[in-house]
Amino acid sequence: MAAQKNKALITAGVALIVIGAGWMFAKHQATAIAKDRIDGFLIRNNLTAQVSYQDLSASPFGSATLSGVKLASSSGSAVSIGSLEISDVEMKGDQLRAVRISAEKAEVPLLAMARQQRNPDKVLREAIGLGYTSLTGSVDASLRYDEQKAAIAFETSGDIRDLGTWRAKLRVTNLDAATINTLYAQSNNAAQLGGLALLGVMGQAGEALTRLSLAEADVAIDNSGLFKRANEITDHDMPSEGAAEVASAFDERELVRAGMAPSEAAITRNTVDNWLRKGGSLRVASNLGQPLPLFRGGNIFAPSFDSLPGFLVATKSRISN
Amino acid sequence: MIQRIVFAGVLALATVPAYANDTVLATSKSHKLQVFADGGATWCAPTLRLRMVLEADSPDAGNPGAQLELMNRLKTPITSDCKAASAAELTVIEQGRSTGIYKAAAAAGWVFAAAPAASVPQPVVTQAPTPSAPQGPASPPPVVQAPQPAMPAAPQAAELDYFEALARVLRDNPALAQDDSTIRLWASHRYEREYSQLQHQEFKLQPVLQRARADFADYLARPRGNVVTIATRAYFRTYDFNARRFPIDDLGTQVSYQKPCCVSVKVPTNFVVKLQDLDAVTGLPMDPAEAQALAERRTRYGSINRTIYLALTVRLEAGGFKGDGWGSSTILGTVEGVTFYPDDRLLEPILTIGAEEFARWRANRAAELAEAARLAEQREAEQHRQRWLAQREQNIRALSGAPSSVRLANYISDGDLSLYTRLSDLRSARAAALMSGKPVPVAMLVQSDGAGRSKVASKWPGKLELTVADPLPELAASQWYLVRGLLSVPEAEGLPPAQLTAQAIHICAQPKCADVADPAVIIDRKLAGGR
Repeated sequence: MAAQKNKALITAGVALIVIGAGWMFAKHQATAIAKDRIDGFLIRNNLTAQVSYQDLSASPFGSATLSGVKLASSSGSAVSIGSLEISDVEMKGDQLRAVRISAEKAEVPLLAMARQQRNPDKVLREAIGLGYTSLTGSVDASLRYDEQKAAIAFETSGDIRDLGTWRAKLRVTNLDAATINTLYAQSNNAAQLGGLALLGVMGQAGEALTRLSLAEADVAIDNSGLFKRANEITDHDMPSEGAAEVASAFDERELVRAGMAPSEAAITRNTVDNWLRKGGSLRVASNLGQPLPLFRGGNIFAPSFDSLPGFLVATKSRISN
Repeated sequence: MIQRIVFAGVLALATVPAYANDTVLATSKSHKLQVFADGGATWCAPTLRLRMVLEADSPDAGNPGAQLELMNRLKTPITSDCKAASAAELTVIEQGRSTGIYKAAAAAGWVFAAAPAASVPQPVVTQAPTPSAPQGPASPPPVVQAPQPAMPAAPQAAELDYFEALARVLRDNPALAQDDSTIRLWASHRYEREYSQLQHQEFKLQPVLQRARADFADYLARPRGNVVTIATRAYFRTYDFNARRFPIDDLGTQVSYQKPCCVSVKVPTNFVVKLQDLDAVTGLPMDPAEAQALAERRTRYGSINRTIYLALTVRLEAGGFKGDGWGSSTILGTVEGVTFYPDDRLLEPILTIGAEEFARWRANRAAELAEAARLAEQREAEQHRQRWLAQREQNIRALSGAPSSVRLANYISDGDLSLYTRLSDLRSARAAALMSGKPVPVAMLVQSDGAGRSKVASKWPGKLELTVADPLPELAASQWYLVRGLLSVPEAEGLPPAQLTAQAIHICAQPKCADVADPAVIIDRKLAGGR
């Protein structure tokens, strides 16, 4: 019994060592392959001067993590990313069908960028005035094309320190594989040939694009940090007499004209205005039973909505704080 | 008395008096020149003072060799007409300028030779003024009477010229001193006639160059101090009976010395001395009687020759000449004294101002300038006040339609009225300070959130700390202030408060400083000088 027990233990130990070694070997191989691909991509696209990283590790399951990533601009300032993970990669031939990119400890040096510009734009000045000398946080984005369902989904989320968070999901259907192939084939040519070729791509895929339908749109924003800063650092030269007037995002009558019930329109407008005035969280989520064609009757000149109220009504969106 | 001479086969006889007090010793139509003897009726003296005046188109102009040849033919008229003469000094005048001084002695057979120190070109003075009074005839320059024994002696420091300046540069560069181009330059200056004749005959030129190389080494080896004499020309204006002096036109700020023509060289071709305290020389002080005598001595045909020459005693800065890379070298010099001379021979001083007296001149000039600046400022302030007074009602009306922010900014600003200025907002000011990386000027409304002098927090605009230094008043709690100062933002993690250091502050009597938002109050404050 004791001998059998020892044999089982040894067998298990050997198996563990073999598995561990196999994992290490596979990971090493995966890292080497990922490094080749990434370095090759940077060299082929002349990005070696702009993009650099300190380390790379990859898993046999398809994810790769770059650490110490620097994205340098022509002016010299550099966006740094502590950890950039590329995962859930799915390819069909040379076509990318799914990918997820997550950036952790990303830092955008706004002040350094502004100092390198002769006339920094208004948004940059405003951000620096609010104390955002650099933006730090995490960003996540994923894209997945489902050939069976002819649907493409895009999701993103992020958290910027002292500024806010966001989460968004967009799903579009009626995008068949043939259209994807056309877009891929022609976009490669367009990249080489320039703007006119891009118009050609749009022309060839145009008909297919008019058949696209919106299946889901869900956007949530929380700008509490930004409003806290704005309250701390005023942009007024004198104290104002009362609460600052904030223009409404839209007239609730537009919602009613677009088909929304007056009571619901009033609630929607108040919710948006309240958010514009005080900040905080705001979620706009579609509530579609069936996918909504983006263009009526396949006519590219007849979009299903051409304004925010039109979008809210057409997608039966719910707005909440 | 009219003197006559014959320049063997060359000069024609002439008996034409040039001026009442001058004697024509010789004249030549073919050479287009005349030789004058100074001194009028008493021209014949142990030492003759002669001037060879060449017309502009004289074939001998610019040719010292030919001029020297003609000078050496003056032996006959000198010995026949003035047996008392034992020496002569002759100045060559070309286009109204002295181009060379030559000396001869009876003992040496009346052979003229160049006096080297005087044969270099005169310095060019920048911003040289034009004479304010009518001048005498273009040539020759007027005669100066006998020396005045009571006058102090001329300064002992070496007179600066192109070669004196060059010697100071070559002192530290022996290789350049021995360069062939440098030696040729020296030879063309030292042995002008020979060099000019032999410069294209390489074999005959060699002995001249060897001689030049040897005596240029001697010339460079002479001891040279930092104190030099700089000769320059000046014009005196009408006598000022109150100040008891002849005022002198502006002498400029620098003198320059150019390389003589026509040798290509590697050494600097231009030396500039920037002169400090030259503006202290504003006049030639003199008693009225003495001044009158001077003026009379210099009067010809009813006009006073107002050109005089100055020998400035200048201390050069220790660092030496500094090249600009374009062939010019500059040095800074401080004027420490001045001697006035009647002519460019710099032999018979009119007046010498030594270092001690010159220091008083310098102090007087500084006081004059300070007083002039004060008066100008006073005048400008009064003009400004008058302008404000004339526009008071109009400005009040214009300011009445402006927002409070514009009014308060005008109250605290020290500039003129502007309808485009506003109080600064904290966000924009922070952005400007952070982007520039240095404090930015602001005018802000501030309500304190504490008391004291240093880093007092604010209720308005918040995230701002105010610091006031003496003699500005200490801050009281919850008090409204209108502040002009410099705002900076520490570059630190988080959101550090901006720092405002006050340069001017107004303690407001009403919340938000409504008490000084009245347009009439603002305009009257500016009118009272608080602009």
